[in-house]
Amino acid sequence: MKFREYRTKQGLTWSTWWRWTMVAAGAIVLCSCRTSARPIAPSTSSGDIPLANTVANDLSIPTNGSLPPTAWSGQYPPGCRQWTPPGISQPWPKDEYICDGGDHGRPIRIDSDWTVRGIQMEDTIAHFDTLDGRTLVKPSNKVCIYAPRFGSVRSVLGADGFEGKESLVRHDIPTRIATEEEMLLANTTLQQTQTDRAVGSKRIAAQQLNAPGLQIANDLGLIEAHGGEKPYENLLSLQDGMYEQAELAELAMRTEAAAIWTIDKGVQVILDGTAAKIATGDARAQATYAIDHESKPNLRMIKVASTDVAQPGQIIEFTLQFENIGNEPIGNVTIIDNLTTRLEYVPDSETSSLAADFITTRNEGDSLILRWEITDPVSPGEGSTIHFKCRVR
Amino acid sequence: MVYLLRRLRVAMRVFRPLRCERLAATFVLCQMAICLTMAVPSSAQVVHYRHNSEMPPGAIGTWQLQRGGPLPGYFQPATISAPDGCAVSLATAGTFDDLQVHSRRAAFLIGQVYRLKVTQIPLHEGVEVFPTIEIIDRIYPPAGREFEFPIQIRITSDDLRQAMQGRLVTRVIYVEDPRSALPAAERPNQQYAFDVRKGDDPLQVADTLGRPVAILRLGARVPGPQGATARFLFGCPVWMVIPEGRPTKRAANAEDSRKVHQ
Repeated sequence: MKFREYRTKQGLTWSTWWRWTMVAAGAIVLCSCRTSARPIAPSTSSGDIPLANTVANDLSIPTNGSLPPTAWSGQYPPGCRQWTPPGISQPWPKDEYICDGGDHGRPIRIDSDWTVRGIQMEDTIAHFDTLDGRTLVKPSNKVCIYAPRFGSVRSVLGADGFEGKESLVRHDIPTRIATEEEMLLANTTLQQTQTDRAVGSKRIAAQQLNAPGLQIANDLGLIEAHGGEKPYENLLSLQDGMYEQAELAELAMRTEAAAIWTIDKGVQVILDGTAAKIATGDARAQATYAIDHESKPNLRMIKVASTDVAQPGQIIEFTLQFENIGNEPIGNVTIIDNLTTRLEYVPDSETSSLAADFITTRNEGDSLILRWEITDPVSPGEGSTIHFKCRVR
Repeated sequence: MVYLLRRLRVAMRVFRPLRCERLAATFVLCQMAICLTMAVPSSAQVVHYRHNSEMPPGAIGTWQLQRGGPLPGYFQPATISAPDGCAVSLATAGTFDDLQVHSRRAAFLIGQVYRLKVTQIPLHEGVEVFPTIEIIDRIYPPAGREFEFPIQIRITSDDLRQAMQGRLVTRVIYVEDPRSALPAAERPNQQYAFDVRKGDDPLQVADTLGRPVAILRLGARVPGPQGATARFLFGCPVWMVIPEGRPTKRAANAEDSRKVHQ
């Protein structure tokens, strides 16, 4: 209390809020600071894209036998790992592994004209169009193969210099000036040439045009039509779909048996694979059913390799398997694999279980960007498997 | 001026009773200074290399061992190959073995210096060159597959010719960074190698291209008239024979004393 009086007497009432403002500002700065060398955790920014461990587990689910049992998903099983320093993301050390798959660095985005932005080497993604006009991108898992390669640099040290001194030597040889003249006589040469080409013309002798006559015959047989309502269907609601109050009593009489049905034994309505709920009416003939349709387009892509270690010159077979795990068809499905520098695509080694246009483009690492454009839309639950081979450089 | 000093003195009086606030403010200011220091971009730092290729053999490996980790006691497999027709011998038990092969596979300790002998050099029969190798780092293959990925140490004909002419050849072998590797395909028994510019340190150049793992040195130094002494052989450190054929899952440690040469 004395301090407050003293402070008021000295005219320093501003100091309290000023100090607390400074403390708050410092706390905000502290909260916003980050260290640049934070350990990299496994990326989970891809939403529902499974992690590598999850992919390994997913390989145990039925995959129609299209994936080899020895497929390498990029992760070692527990208990079969080499020593690694704690807190460092796998694989380690990174300079001994060739990695392919995933989406590194800035997220890949697709322009309105399907131009791919931000794709880097080692990236493997799939993009597709949804029914509502969106273009979504889904990366695959990352596969790393142990394949170290060695290089060497050399320096040679030694006495390479030589320094010598020589005396000057003068050499003088007098020469006489000489003149040379040559006289040439003018002459004329004639060359006789004979005609080697004759030009003539011919008239058209005859021209005949034969056009066969056309005869069109079209016979249509009689078609017998069957149809009509049965006598017991003489209701306006069945004929025109309109309900009249006068027919309600008759309808109630005919659906009397259905009135004793329980809910479980009653009519179950399924629209587009989704259980429909009753919207209007009761257990009556004119009940209206409806479903809540929520758009959930999604795609899952798994990438595996045929081996986990490789020597330079060895050929590795990669398998890309994608599946529409959404609830609606997707179109313009495009698979893109930007190979790393040390992977060289083996020509004519790719196969796809679905019809696709295969396009290759040279990338900045003197390797290739592989691109599969699936021609037909992919229905929910449907997928494809792509195989291709690469040689380790 | 007098007014400002007076205000400062009054302010100091005000802060004195609030010890907790003063401590909090000091703590915040210190943390802000630390954050500003850490926010300096790394590009502003000047790289200072502790090692260079002109250090005496064994010095770099010894420094590497002091870092700790899985380096001490580990036998790193390596393949030493010379031109066809040459014979490469390894020092064991104070002398050189007499295997008449141009390529040797063995596992070496990190940080030790091993003396070799290269003889039967084509067109230079009778001349002997005594290179040294020094393993300064290891590689980390999957467990049980250590022998499938030895460090490739290649001695070229030009290396031998330069050494026979009295020059000192220093070759640094490194693990290439896959992101900056050369895109050309590698053939068997081929290794990308190039000479550094005059005045450049091959160890620093190799460090920019990958991770140095071994150093090969060749010169004109030969044993004295009394033969290869222990000093000439750098104490003749132990090395281990790599089993031929498909390697087993046994780790490359020195458990099997029968195959360790000393």
